[in-house]
Amino acid sequence: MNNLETLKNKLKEIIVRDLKLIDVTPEEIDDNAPLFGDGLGLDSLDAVELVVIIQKNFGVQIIDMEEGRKAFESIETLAKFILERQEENS
Amino acid sequence: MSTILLKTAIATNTGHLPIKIAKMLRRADEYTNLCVVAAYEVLNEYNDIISTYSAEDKTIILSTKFGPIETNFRYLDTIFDFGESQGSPILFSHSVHNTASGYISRIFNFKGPIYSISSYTYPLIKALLTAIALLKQNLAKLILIINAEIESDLLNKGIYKLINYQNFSIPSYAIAWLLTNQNNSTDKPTLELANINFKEQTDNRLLQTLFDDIIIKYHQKTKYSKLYNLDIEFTKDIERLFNSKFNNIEFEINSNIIQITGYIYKNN
Amino acid sequence: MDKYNSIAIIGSAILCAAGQNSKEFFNNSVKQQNPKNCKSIPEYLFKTELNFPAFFLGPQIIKQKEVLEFINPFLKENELSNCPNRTVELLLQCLYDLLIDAKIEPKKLQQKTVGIVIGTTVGSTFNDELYYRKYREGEISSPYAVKNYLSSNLAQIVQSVLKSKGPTMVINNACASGTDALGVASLWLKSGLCDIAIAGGVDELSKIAYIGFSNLQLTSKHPCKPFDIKRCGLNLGEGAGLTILTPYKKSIKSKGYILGYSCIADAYHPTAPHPKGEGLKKAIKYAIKQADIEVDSISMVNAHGTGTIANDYSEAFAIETTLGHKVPVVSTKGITGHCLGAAGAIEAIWTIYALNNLICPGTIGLTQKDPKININALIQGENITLKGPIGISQSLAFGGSNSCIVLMGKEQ
Repeated sequence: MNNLETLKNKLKEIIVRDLKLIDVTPEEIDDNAPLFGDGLGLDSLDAVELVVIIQKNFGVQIIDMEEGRKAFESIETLAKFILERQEENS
Repeated sequence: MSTILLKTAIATNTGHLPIKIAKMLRRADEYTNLCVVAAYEVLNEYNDIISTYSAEDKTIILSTKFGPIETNFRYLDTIFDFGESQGSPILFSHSVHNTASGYISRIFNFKGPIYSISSYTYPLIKALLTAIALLKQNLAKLILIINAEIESDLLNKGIYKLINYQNFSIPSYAIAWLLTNQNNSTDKPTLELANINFKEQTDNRLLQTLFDDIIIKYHQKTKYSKLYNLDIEFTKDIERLFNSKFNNIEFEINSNIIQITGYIYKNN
Repeated sequence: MDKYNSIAIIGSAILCAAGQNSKEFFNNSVKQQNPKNCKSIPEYLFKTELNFPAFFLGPQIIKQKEVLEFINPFLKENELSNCPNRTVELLLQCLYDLLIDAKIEPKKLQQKTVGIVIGTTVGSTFNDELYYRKYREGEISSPYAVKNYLSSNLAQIVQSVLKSKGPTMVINNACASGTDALGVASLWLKSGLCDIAIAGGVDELSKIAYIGFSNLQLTSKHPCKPFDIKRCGLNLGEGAGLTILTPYKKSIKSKGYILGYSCIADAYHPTAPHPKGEGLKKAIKYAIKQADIEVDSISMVNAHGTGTIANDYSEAFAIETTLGHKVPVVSTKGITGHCLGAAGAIEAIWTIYALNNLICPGTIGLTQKDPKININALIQGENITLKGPIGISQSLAFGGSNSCIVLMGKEQ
């Protein structure tokens, strides 16, 4: 399994655990499904929590919600965003 | 315009809620959960009547001594463990007193005033006095009073040291009272609250009055012989009336703190 | 409008970064051209890694000998060497100023039935960081912090200081607490629970609230810009606002009146307001109805106007829909910051001052209105004459409460 796949699986687990999603398992989350609105149904409070979760678990800082909005479109975009940032940081 | 008490409930653990409500509580803390359990117990019983009220006519008064104090500590944990910029916004937003009442308003569609009030002494009674004032002035038609505390080890240990009372503890609980000023036909027992007399304590010392409320004197028992929580004991007295065999009869509850007179109606 | 049904404001007092009394606060709103008091957190308040500017008062809230004499008996009776926290200091200094303003000697209220309703957010929390850190590590020594916490219910403190009787209550409705305190006190007066009431709100600038609001990404790194196209968040503030209220009596010389009040919940989201301001629209309508006035008699609105993208948009939509796009709208948070539980009370008192002088200053921080906002938000320096003595002050709270109070200036 490559870096991206591992990261995506880890993200799914963390999101289910830390955002306390009770009616979905990590395996059931589609890589490309929207996280907010109709897809997973997260809201603006989850969004700011996700910023803290990303910083805590991956050391990647999201400066503001404009930046966050694009990264948070789906698990796929979020994982790619994190890998990009981690590369920039090193 | 009379004040009718439809039902009371005491919740001591986060019990079974319908899945639809449980989903809305995904981020909720234990304090909020307890409040919703108690609210559900009284509201579910009167679902048919409540659906005839408009959302703006339904009011919530959440009363407490200490509020969601443990959630505040959980938030502090995230700051101390991970740093200031990594404090959990979900925990912070749940550490404020009015979050639980916000949940109840969303889950049960209450759009009237939401008041979250706190007092170290007699919070339930203060909520009751305010609720009755709202009902009498027709500023609400249905009022849900919640009175809740969450057990806190830090607080228990601190208070034990202050008053030197072994094993002091305030348990986690949530009480719900459902009141209305509308005449609804129901065959469930109801109590009409005719007269309420809150007997003032004239001792102005802060801690003294607090401990009087928590520990003693509701039923005039000996000091420190038994731990009473006034709000729970008061509610239990009311529940005894609901469950009694009496019907269409006057009642009176008279304690050191409060005197209530009213009527019990069984076959409405 | 039936003035006999109104509540008279017979005294008021304010403490905030923009002034130590209503006159100073108001004059600063008129004169000031930019938010000069929005600064980095000084060490006397707390140390922090974050760098959002805020509004705050000096290190010593209580300075005068007379005020210390006023509160010493209370401290002694409750075995406190100092005020339990800064919020209590703000409360007691403001209480002293209030009694002076109303020309009421403290002794006059002893044993009287005085209703006391104080709004706060921070004042009801256990905030002793050092004690909690030690507790986490298993060290519990003297329970001083618990004693302080249990001695900090603001309404009970006022009762203890005044030795009065009557119902007391603290309101914890987040940002609407101050407005709600005035509303609930009015309710108590009208229902005969008390003959006179002290109502208002107090909050210190607390480290935990400061960090919390920044974790929620609601704070701005710059002075806030209510209703501005470039707005990007709020600044926190601290302060106190207190009033003395009685039912209307012809003989009493009052500063102003509360004509109506309403509080409606959005039932929408834990932290965000309803995007179309649904709850606020109804609160405005019901408050106006209770006041029994025509919409066009409202000469100004003191908005919540925090300067966050969400709040200002929702609030403007609600104002536009209920009151139209001509009524002058102002936000004072550009010179006070968001004082949380104190905000509603401070803003109501400021509004009475504006109505009594028939002047409404512009919104400090607002230089270029957001074109999506279709209300008459007065920009910085746009000080206008009011057409009449009736106005509105409103607050939107976390958790979805919307509170609106209709106020009238004193009889001329």
